[in-house]
Amino acid sequence: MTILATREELSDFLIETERRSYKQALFAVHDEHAALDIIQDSMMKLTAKYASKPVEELPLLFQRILQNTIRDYYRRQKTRSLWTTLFSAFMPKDQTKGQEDFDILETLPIKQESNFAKAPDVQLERAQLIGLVEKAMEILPARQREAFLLRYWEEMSLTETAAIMNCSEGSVKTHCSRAVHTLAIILKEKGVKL
Amino acid sequence: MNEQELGKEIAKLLNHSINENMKQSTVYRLQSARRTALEHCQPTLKIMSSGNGTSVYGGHDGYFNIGKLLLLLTVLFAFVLVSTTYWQFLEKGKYTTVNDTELLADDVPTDTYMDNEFELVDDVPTDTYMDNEFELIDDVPSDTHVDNVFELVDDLPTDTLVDNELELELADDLPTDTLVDNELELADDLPTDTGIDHKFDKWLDSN
Repeated sequence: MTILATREELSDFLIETERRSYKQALFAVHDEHAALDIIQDSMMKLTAKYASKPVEELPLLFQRILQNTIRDYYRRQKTRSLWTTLFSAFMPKDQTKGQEDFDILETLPIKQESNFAKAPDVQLERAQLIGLVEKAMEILPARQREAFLLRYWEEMSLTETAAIMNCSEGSVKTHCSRAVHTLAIILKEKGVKL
Repeated sequence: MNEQELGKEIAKLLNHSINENMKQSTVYRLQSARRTALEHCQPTLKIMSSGNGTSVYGGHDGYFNIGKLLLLLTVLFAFVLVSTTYWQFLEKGKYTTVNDTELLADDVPTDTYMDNEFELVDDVPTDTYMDNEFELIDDVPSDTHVDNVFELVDDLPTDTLVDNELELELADDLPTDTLVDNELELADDLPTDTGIDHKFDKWLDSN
């Protein structure tokens, strides 16, 4: 007998996964606004179509929706970039665009909930290390990044990852291995030793 | 550090990043997105009768809506239309190909050799066409001449036919005197010797 997800369970699941999913989208598209749009679209699709699914199926479904939405974004970008290239000569150069996008909320510090890295120097070092890892994640090829994040960050099994990526388990292993090697090389080049 | 450990270490760093480096505005927007999504949450659960006084949860009504049915019908109709057109095109092509192949590959029927039309046409020189016209006319049987008269009559211009008919009609309508006068007129036109003879006859009659 399967227990179907209630509204609260669905909400809890989204709270738990939204930040990681946002980061995944951000690594993939390199744009905050686009990443937020992708997350919102994915959440809408999940709640509209799969709200009545069992709780244990939600992570798999949501990851699949998320990856498909990212792919859709790539496709749209490809088409849009074609038109943008064609008509770029007619577009006015807006110098004040950067100032209009300024948001006061972005300057506020986030509340520290963890006890991680209390000392300022350690905190700085940690922040720099995280920055490097995030840059390295952005450099990774899309499939390798997808496999790595699903396997090590989302802690999904080989079968689940293969189902989401629509490939064989062997391919998942290969992508993961290459991703870890690439990350190790990048971090080593920067002088980071984990 | 092996591959698994390195992967887990990087994942741990990423976990710290989502807790520490996340902008407050991004957090708010994520919350807003979550709330919007939950507002649109439409659980398709409803209690259905499963017989014997029991009930179960079900939610598959959405799979059979009118829109999907119409789309399916449209696709089917388009498929049938395209396949029919294609079949007709293929049939037409097959018929033409078979005819061409038969003409090129099969032996010509015996009747074709018996027919001398082509030979005659090929043998006759071009000049002969003009020279033989009269000969052909001579050789034509008498019935043909009669037929040709009508053809000739038919070929005459309409004015000519009308004139002739008028003359005939006029001749019928003329009074007898006129005819006599005409004879005299005709007599006047006769050569002089004839006129002398008439005078002599008149003198004899008077005397």
